[in-house]
Amino acid sequence: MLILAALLLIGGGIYLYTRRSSRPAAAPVVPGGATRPAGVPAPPVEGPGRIEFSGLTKRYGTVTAIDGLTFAAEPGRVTALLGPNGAGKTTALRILLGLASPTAGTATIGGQPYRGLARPIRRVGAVLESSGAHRGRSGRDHLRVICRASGVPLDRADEVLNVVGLSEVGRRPVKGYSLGMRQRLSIAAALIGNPNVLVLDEPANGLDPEGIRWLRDLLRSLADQGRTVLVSSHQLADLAAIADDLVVIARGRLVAHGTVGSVVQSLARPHRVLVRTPEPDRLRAELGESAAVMPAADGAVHIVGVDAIAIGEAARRAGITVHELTSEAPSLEDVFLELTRGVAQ
Amino acid sequence: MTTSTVDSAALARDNHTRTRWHWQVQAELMKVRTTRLWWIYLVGVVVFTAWALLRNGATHHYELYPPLDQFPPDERAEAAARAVTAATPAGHAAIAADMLTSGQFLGVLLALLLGVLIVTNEYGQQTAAATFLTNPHRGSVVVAKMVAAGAFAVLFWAISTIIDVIVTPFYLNSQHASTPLTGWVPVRSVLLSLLAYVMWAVFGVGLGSLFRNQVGAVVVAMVVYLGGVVTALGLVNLIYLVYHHMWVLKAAVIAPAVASLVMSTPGRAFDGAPAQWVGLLVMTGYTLLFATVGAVRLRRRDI
Repeated sequence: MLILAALLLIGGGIYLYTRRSSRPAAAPVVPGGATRPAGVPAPPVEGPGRIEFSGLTKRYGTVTAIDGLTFAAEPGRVTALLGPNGAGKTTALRILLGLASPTAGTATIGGQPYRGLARPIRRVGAVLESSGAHRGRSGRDHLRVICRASGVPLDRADEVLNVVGLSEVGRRPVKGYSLGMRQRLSIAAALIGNPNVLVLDEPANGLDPEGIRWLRDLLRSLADQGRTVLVSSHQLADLAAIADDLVVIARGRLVAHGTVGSVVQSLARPHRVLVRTPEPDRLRAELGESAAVMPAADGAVHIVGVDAIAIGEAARRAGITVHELTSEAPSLEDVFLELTRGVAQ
Repeated sequence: MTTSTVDSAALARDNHTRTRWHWQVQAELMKVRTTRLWWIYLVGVVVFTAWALLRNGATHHYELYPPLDQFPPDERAEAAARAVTAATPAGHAAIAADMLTSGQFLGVLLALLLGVLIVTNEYGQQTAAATFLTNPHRGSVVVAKMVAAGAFAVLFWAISTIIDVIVTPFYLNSQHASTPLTGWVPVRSVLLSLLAYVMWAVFGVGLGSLFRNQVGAVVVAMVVYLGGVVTALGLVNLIYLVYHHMWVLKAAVIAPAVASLVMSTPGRAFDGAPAQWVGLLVMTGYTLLFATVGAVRLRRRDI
């Protein structure tokens, strides 16, 4: 009896303490009430949504998974976190989301660590490879558990199931879902709190082409509504169409960071022009010392050091026939491979 | 499919006034209720209770009415003496207490395993990340799991006890044993049985928090519970042969399973057993220790 009374006293004390410490300062203002017309963008739910990594380092014994990573993802933009497998993307995101502890440095959302957020589900939605659902539980119940744990009304589960197109299979056990359906379920879970920050780790894995297009549209529209979208991938093709900013990491180190255009431009590769002509030697002589000519496929040549206009002018002056004259700006794929090649090996 | 996530009738009704503890406990209860585990355990409790009632009923029948003509001559006197003791009011009360806690041994094992699985399922089913993303305050998650495990342990105990309470009066009547079921001896046994269910369930959550591997955690839990009594008593009896002191036998209570046995057994659980309150104290200590260590371990672990 005494022990029961003691346990009740201790439990009551903890309850009263946490009731005081965890109560939000004020009830959050929820935009987008029931009367809001469909599709009307809403402002961010609450608080700023800037994601900031500062000197983030994570070591596992002697292995350094992340080495002084510093960058920010801004509201209203899709920031693509790119890197080859094992580059440290997932580790960085797990630290950001409070699932792992950093060895040094910080990762914050709106200036606060994830664990410091009073009610994270209303601020941040996350999709991680491992954030799965119990195989024996239905997808709907999985979402209802998350709603229950975060104090969100349970019927929000049905709303997000509809958003990701899983309403018809929501009551089936997750073990019957395809990989793409599970990925959609993870995305639904991330949207439960209508957060102003989305963090997604390889969200396109398992999605079919239609699903990938849907995901791109969703992420783009979320960013256009003013939300921060940080999305990682090891495949540039998944994100090239929608990313505003690129963060490229390899072996845990930042390799490049900036807008897509600035990162592409930062690759200081000499301008290269593909020329197809029956008289490459005469053209080389006409261009003079400033141009370097290298053989390319099918008898064509790459010319570096002069631009396409100068080459065209030189050919006209010398009366040289030119069948093809293509200025080769580096593609995003080239930039990604170029940036990660040296560091990743 | 739609890309509109902002128009939510549900979120418009979101009025977050309760604490995260409240929501987390509700979520943990929901997690158990939304899998088949829940039904398997309930069926297990009913089956184990029925089996234990049959077994205990038969045992006490032969205790009250031993077939003396089938006993070897040198054991007849002892059996007759036991029958006389069993037929006293105190004996009837002890039989009632035993019948009213039928199913406890395996029921508690189910509560322990449920406690272990409530935690280890998070890793086995890869739901830990989703859980800690929803509530990054891991301490409150662990406490909520303990409360949920405790609540289901109370349910298991209640179901088993209700069956026992229904069957026991009929059994006692059939054995011509009259004793009030509201007497202190049976009531104390039933309440201690409730404590055992709850403590082992909470102990299970703490134990499960120390392991990532679900199978490993379940095996360790079963070894601690099922093998604990035999191993600990065997060990102290061996030591007792060398150091012939009573405290050696009493020391067996440091094993959780022995502490639980001592706690829930009216009178002496075995020769040299300490008093019931010692078992209760040791079991409480283990429960708090494992709960604390499990919570601390889970707070620091990378998911």
